[in-house]
Amino acid sequence: MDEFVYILKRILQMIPVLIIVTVLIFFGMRMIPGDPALLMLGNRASDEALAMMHAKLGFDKPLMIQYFLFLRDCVLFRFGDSITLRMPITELFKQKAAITISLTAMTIIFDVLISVPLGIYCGMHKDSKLDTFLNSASLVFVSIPEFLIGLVLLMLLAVRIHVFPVGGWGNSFGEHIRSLILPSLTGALMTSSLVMRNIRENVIKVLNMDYVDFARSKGLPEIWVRMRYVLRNVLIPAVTLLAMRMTAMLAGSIVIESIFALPGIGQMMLNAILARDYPLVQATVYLFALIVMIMNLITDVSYSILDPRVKL
Amino acid sequence: MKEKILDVRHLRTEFLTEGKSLTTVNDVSFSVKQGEIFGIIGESGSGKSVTCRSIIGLLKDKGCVTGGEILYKGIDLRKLKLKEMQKIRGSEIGMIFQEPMTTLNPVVTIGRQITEAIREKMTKREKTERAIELMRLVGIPSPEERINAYAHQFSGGMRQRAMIAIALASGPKLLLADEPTTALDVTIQYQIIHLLKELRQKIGMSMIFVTHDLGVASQLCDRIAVMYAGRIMEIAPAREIFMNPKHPYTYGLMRAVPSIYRKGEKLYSIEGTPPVPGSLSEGCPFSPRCDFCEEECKRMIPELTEESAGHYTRCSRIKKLGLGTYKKVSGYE
Repeated sequence: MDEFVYILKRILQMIPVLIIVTVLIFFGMRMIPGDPALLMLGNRASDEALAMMHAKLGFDKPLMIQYFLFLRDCVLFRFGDSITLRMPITELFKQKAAITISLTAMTIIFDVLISVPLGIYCGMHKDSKLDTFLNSASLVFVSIPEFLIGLVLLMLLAVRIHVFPVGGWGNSFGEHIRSLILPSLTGALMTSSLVMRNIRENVIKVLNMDYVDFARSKGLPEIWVRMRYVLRNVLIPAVTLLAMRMTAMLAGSIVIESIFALPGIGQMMLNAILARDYPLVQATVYLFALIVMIMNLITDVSYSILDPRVKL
Repeated sequence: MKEKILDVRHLRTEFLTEGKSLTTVNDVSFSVKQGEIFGIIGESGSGKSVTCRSIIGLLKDKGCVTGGEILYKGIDLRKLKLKEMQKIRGSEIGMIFQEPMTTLNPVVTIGRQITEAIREKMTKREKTERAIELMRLVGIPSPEERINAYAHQFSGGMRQRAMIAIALASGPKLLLADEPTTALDVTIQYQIIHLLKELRQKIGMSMIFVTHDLGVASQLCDRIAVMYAGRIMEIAPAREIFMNPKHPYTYGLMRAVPSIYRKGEKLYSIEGTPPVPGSLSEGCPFSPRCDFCEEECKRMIPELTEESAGHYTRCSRIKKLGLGTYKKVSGYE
């Protein structure tokens, strides 16, 4: 019951945030110089043609009316068509989201595969050679911007040795997977470095806790102590950190999709902004904000399930 | 005479830090008899906890037992492999710790922490019943409901009781209690002491009780060892230690306890601070702070010698001075 009330409260709290998002994106877009009708018709378009196009797109109405129409669309999830792509936005979003979500999912898989074993190893073998090396290496990956890592990987593994495609999405499932490996690795290197360091610190901390020694004093086998006492207490904060990084990954997808020419949401949004495709940009940002908020809510709820000390 | 359950001989424990080896427990010998509560008292850093952890083989970080024997029922625990030691832990020797806040796993229920410690083969249901029984034994109210609670839902005293229940799960014959009452307030302290006494009577468990609280030690222990700078300075029956201390350090400790009868007087304190491990010179470690120190004390450490029946002390001056002199010189009546 408490959980239900909490979740309901959080959902209600989303409403004002979403309204602020709509204000920012609607007026923000219109503050950028440029006119979508002019971009569509070209510089030499006559005034009549421009006026007709404005009327067709609904830009002839007063700004406030336009805003409230947008707000109504947001509530009803009825976003209309993209100006430039001439397709229903909902349809576009579904298509592109599949790519971005696969990218994020694959990034998280890499994250877990890299950070969990290495973090645990380093924490348990503190100050060993591998630990010292990985610790410095992870610091490097935390500090280098993603696009640089992406470009280096691209140069090495796609241009020099043709192991992976240089870019694009491919046509079959196998090609999709192959074209996702480099971009997700790029995203994963930074996040997994962060998570690895977090896991390492926590392993060191937990191994020093009295409850680990107490578990040993009960005569429990070492493997049991490590699984139930060390691992469980270490992975709880790591899961939270990873979940928090997930939202950052969605934002980072704009950069990564551009580098690897992946036709995902990030790419679409970038193109839409350049073409002043107002409806598409507004709808995408709105949906993005919604997804991020829902993911944050899921993170908080899952944290309370994992850790009995956390009450909602 | 009851048989010895634990016999520690010339125990030496060292810690490796920054390439240097620091001896934190040095030449410690004592024995614990069946059903006895043996106290170890001393200031922080005197090596009490390290002695306990050495016995059960759970030293922190780079600690290592480098000398001596730890005979439990005649078996030298130092020679056991990890697998064999794990069999001893829990079912033969149990341990409880100082901080009940940090000694229980925060993400596993108390009930599971008890049942996983039960070594005997039984069904899950029997284990749960056993856990409830143990919780009742240590005085946790309504154990049927609290078996599924987590550590953070317990108060400090209840956590300490839960910890004792876990340590008792496999019925150890010897319990190492490392300052189990230090983190608790006085009324709870009393309850825990009472509980430990009761357990000794009910299940005949032997115990090593580490504390720096002389009052607690006097309430609970049969015999007491006083440790200073990693060495035992005096061992005697509890009553003897309090009524008839034969080492200047023990004597100083007794005088440093505040008393209502000496209200208004300046409270005695032993001058100086305990030595840092590694900074010890050749002589008696207490000599720099001792009121009775002579040239001889600075040169060599006296042996632990029996002064009267069962009363051992490590002081070369005691024979010459006698306790009467201690009292006179320090002006204490």
